Amino acid sequence: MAEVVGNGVQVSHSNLGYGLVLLGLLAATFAAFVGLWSGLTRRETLLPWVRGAVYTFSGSMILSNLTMIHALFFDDFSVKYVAQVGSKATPPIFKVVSLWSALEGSILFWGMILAVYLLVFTLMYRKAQGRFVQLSLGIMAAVAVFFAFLIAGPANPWTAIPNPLSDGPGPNPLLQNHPLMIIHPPMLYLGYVGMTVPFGIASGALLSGEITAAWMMPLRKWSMVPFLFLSIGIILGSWWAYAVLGWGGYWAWDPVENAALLPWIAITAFLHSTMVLERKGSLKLWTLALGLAAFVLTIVGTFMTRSGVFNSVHSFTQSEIGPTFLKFIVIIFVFSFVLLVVRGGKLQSDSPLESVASREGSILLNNLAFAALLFTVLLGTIFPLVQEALFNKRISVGEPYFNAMSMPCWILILFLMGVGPMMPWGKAEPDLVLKQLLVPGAGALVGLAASMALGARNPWAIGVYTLAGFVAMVTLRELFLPAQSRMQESKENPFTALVRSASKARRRFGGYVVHLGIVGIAVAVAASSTAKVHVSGTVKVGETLEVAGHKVRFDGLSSGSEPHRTWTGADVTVIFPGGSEAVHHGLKAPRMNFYERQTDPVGSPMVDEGALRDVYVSLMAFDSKTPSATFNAWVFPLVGWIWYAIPVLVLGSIIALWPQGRRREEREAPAKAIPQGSA
Amino acid sequence: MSPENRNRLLAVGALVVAGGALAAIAWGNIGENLVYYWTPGEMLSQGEKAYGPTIRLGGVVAPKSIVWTDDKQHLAFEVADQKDGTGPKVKVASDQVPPQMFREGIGVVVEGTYAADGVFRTNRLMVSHSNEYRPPKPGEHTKEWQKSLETASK
Repeated sequence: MAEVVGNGVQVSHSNLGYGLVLLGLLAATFAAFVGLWSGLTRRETLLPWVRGAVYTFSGSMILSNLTMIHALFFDDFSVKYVAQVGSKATPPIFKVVSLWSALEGSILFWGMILAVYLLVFTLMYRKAQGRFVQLSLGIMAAVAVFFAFLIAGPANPWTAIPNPLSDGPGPNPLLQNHPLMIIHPPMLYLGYVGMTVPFGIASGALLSGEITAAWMMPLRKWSMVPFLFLSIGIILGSWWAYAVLGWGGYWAWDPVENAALLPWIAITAFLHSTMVLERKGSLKLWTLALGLAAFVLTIVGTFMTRSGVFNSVHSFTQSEIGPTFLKFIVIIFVFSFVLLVVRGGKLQSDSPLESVASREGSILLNNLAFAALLFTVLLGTIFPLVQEALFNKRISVGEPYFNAMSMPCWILILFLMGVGPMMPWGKAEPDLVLKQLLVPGAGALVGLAASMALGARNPWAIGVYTLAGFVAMVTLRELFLPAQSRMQESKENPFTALVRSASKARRRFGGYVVHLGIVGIAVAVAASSTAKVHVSGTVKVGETLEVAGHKVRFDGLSSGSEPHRTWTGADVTVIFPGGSEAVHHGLKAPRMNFYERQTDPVGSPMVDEGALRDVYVSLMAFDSKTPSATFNAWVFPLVGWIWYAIPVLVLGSIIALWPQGRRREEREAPAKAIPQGSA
Repeated sequence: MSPENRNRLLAVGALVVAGGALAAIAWGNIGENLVYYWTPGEMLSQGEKAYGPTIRLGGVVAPKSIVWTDDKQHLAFEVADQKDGTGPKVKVASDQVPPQMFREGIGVVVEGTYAADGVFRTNRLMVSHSNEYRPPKPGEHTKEWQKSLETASK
C-alpha cells in the first residue's frame, strides 16, 4: 500500500513510520544530552533547545503511532507488525486495539504514551526556569532514548516485508474476547509510563542537590497520575481475569500480576511520604529513593512480563528485547543507587521527627509497612528466577506464601488509614486523640458485629471488616466535618458548604475519597476470598446444580457464529434463593469460543452480577449426545465492589489533581470574608 | 554522642533488626510454600524427596490410561514423559472436572502431591495450551475442530 507523494517519491507506511521513530530517537538523544550537560554545567540559556527537542520527540512518536494505526486500519500487510496481528476479518475497533496486542506494537504504543506525558509536562512548566528543569527534562528524555532505541532496533514493528501475504492471522483471540481487554492495557501503560515523570523530577532534585519547595507540589501531583492509572489498570486486569479466564478468581499472585503490583506499592508509599516532604521538609532522601525505586520496579515489571523470562530464565535471551531491557535495568539501578549515595547527603531534613504519635509518624509507619510488603512480594516473585538461573531448578512460590506474608502488612496499612488522619502534624496530645475515638470506635464495633452476624469466621476477614468500619468513620468525618462547621458559621446550605470546603483543600479531600474506595476494595477482597462457595458437577438438561442457595439449571446446549469465531454455549437459568430467576442463554451463557486459526477453545464464564454477590458459572466440558454439561460454579459475595471502586478512585484523584485556579487566595480567605457569590 | 545522633543510631538499629526478622520469616515461609515443576521422570528420580511438597507435574496423558468412576466424579490416568506413553509414568488421581480439551495424548499440568503409594493426587488439572497461532491446514475450519471436540473420547 504505497502512496505516491510529491516528486514521485514512494512513501510506504514502513518508511514513514520508521523515519519518524528515527527522528524521535535523534530528538530524544539531543534533549537528554543537552539537558543533562547544560544542567550540570549551569548553561541555563540552553533550556529552550531542550524543550524544542522534547516537542520534536513527542510529535514524531505520536505521528509514528498514527501511521501504524492507519496501516492496521487499511490492512497494509507489507508492514511486519500488521502481518503479525492484522487480518481483514477483524472488526475495525479491534484493528486499532491490535496496536497494543503484541510485543512490538505495545512498545511503540508505550513510546506514544511517553511522548504525551513529556509533551504535557513540558507545556505545563514552559515558564519554569533553572537548571532543575533542564536536569529533569534531560532524565526524562534519556528514558525516551531507551524506548525510541527499542522501537528502532530490537522491537522494530516497521520492518518492510517485500512480498506481503494477502491476509494475516488477526490479533490474539483473548483480546477480542472481552471489551475490558481494550482498556486494560492502556491504563496499565499510562500508569507505568507515568512513573517517568516523578523519576525525572526526583533525579533532577538529586542531580542538582536540592529539592526546592516549588517542586515538592509537582512531585506529589505527578505521582498521583501513575498511582491512579496503575490502580485502574490492576483492577481492570483482575476484573478481566475474573470475567474472561473462567478459573473462578481475580488474583493469583502470578508474576504478571506482581509485576504491576510492585511499582504500585512503591508509588503508593511515595505518594504518602511526599506529604511529609511537602509539609515538614523531612524524609527527603527516603521519598526520592522511593520515587526512583518505583520507576526501576516499573522497568523490572515490564521486563518480567515482556521478555518471557518467566517461561524460562534461559530462553529470555532469545526474546528480542530481553537483553536490552536487562541492560537498561542495570543502568538505571546503578544510576539511582549512585545518585542516592553521592548526592543524598546534600539533602538536609528541615525538621526532625518529634513523635511517632503524629501524622508524619503514622505516614512513616505506613511507608515501613509498604516497604515490608514490597520486599516480600519481590522476594516471592524473583525467587524462582534465581533458583532456575543458579541451580537450574524449576519451582514457583505458592499462593500461601504471598497470602500469609502480605496479610499482616495490609492489615497494618488499613489500620494506619484510620489512625493517620486522626493524628495532628507535629505531636499528638493523647487527650485530644482519645476524644476523637468515639465515632470511629462505634464504626469498628458495627463492622465487627455485622461480620459476626453474617457468619464470618476467618479471623483476618473479621479484622478487615472491623478496621473497615473504623477507617470509614474516620474518613467520612474528615470529609464532612469542615463542611459542617461552614454550615454553622456562615449558614451555607449543605451542598455549597461541601463544595467550598472541598475546593479549599482539594488534595486532602480527594485523598480521603480515594481512601473510601480503598476501604470498599478491602472489604470486597476479604469477603470474596474467604466466603466464596464452589461446586462442580455434570448435569443433564433440566437438572440443577446448587451453590450457596442458588440453583443453576441447565437448559440445553446452543451454538452460534460471528465473523471471527464460533461458539458452543450451555444455556443456564439461575434461580435465586427468593425464587426469582435470571435467564442466561446464547451469548450470555457460559461458553467455549472457537477462533479461526487457533486450536484451543477459549472459555468465557457466565457472571450474574449483583450488588451483594456474583453467581459465576464456567463451562468445563459438554457432551452433545446426552446432552449434558459439566460446570464449575461459584458464588462470590461482594466481589463487584472491587470494580465499582474504580469511579470512586477516579473521582477522588480528579478532585485532588484539579488545578487551584486564580481565585485560590480568595477561597483560602476565612469563610466570612466572601459575602458575594454565596448562593 | 549527641542525643540526636543516638536516636538516629537507635532508629537504624531497630530498622535493621526488624528487616532481618522480616527476611528470616519470609525465607522460612517461602521454603514451606515452594511448588516444584517436574516431569514424571524428574519426579521419580527424586526418590522420597518427592513425597509431600506441592508439585506441578507436567507431561502427556498416556494412551489408553484414562479411567472414570461410574458416577464420573473421580478420574484416574497416567502422565508420561513421552507422547507414546513409553518411559517414566506416574498414576494420577483427580476429583476435579477436567477441561473440555482433556484427552489421551494431550499435554497436561497437574498440581498436587505425590505419596509413597505411588499415586499423585491432584485437585488442579490444566491442559497445557499452545499459545501459538497455527496456520490452518487446507480445508480446515473451526466448525470441524469444534465437532471433533464434542465427539472426543471421554
